[in-house]
Amino acid sequence: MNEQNLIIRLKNGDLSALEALMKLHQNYVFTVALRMVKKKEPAEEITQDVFIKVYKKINSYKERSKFTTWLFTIVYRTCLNYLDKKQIVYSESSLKSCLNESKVDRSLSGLQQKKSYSPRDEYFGQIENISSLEFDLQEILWKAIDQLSYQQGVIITLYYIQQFSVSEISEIMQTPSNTIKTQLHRGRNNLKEVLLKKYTLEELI
Amino acid sequence: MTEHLNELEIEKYIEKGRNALSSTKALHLEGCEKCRKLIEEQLQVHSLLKKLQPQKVAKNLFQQMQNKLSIMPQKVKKDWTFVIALILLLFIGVSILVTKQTPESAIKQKQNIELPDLLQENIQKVNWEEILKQTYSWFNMYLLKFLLENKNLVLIFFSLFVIMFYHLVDKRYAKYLFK
Ligand SMILES: [Zn+2]
Repeated sequence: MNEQNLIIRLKNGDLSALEALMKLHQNYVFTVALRMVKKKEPAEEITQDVFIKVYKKINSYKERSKFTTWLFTIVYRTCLNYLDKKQIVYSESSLKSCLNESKVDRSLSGLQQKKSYSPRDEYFGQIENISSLEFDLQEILWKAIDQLSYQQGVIITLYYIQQFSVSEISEIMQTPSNTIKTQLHRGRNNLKEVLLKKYTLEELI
Repeated sequence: MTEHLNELEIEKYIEKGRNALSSTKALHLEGCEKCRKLIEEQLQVHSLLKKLQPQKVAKNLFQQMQNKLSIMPQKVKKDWTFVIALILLLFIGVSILVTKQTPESAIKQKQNIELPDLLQENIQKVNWEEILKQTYSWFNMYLLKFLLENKNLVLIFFSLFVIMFYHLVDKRYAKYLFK
């Protein structure tokens, strides 16, 4: 079903269109929310809240910008509100302390070796179609990204998962394009540092 | 030697390639191992990040969300209740008309028919405005009498009307109600 048709149907109050839109975007919304709030349950709650807001506010969406830009603006603001309420503050400086902690090494513990507990159960649920090596790579990457500040984590997620351009991310986060570019650059640098603690980049690529 | 490439210039290179750089910076890059190494590392992480896939959310998230919204899950059911309400409404309406045609009420009707005859006799004396006023008050009286005599039917009729109205309002204005 065409996304544009779904939006028209949703504007007419059709709930089945909301369900279809959710199927299309919920994993992406959840992934971005998870970068910001860092925990599965609140990220799921935020995902629900986002789609409730979409349902209520769909008439305020004008086709001037992409639907996903509008959607992820809601996601970003909902997450910020959540963090404000919980008074959670992540800062750039937290990265350095994270890098020095042994939990980074523990969280990135090996490509081949697998154990009884894995946060992948929490994050990924059951994924059948991805090979185990690829699966591990996803886990390693997401855990490494979660060591970054939430701003860098969100920018990287929007850029690589949702494939937004820098200007679209700038619109979503209400931040100048050059700041987004700088954060993207530093995010990659920080990620490299986190990954190089355990692997060579060639090994992962 | 010119200055090293800054973050924005490296970002430009990652996004658009070597041609995006100014000729001075492109020339610098050729002679500067440090800048080339920085770009290479960025490109490595860049290609790694391209492999990222979204994480999966719980499958029943939409159902959980519906509980939050407290709204009916399927529109189809709403449409059926609307049709049933409409049929019942018509059925009751017809029933009321039919039951009003009993012999007893027919006699009452016959007695009532004498009223226009009485008016015929006085047609010269009474003006039409007065007749209309009279007719209107009789109509009101009979309507009130009907309502009092058929309380239950009126109640059912009214309830069905409310159901139908709710469905019309819900369909057209749900988005405003749930704001
Ligand atoms: Zn240089």
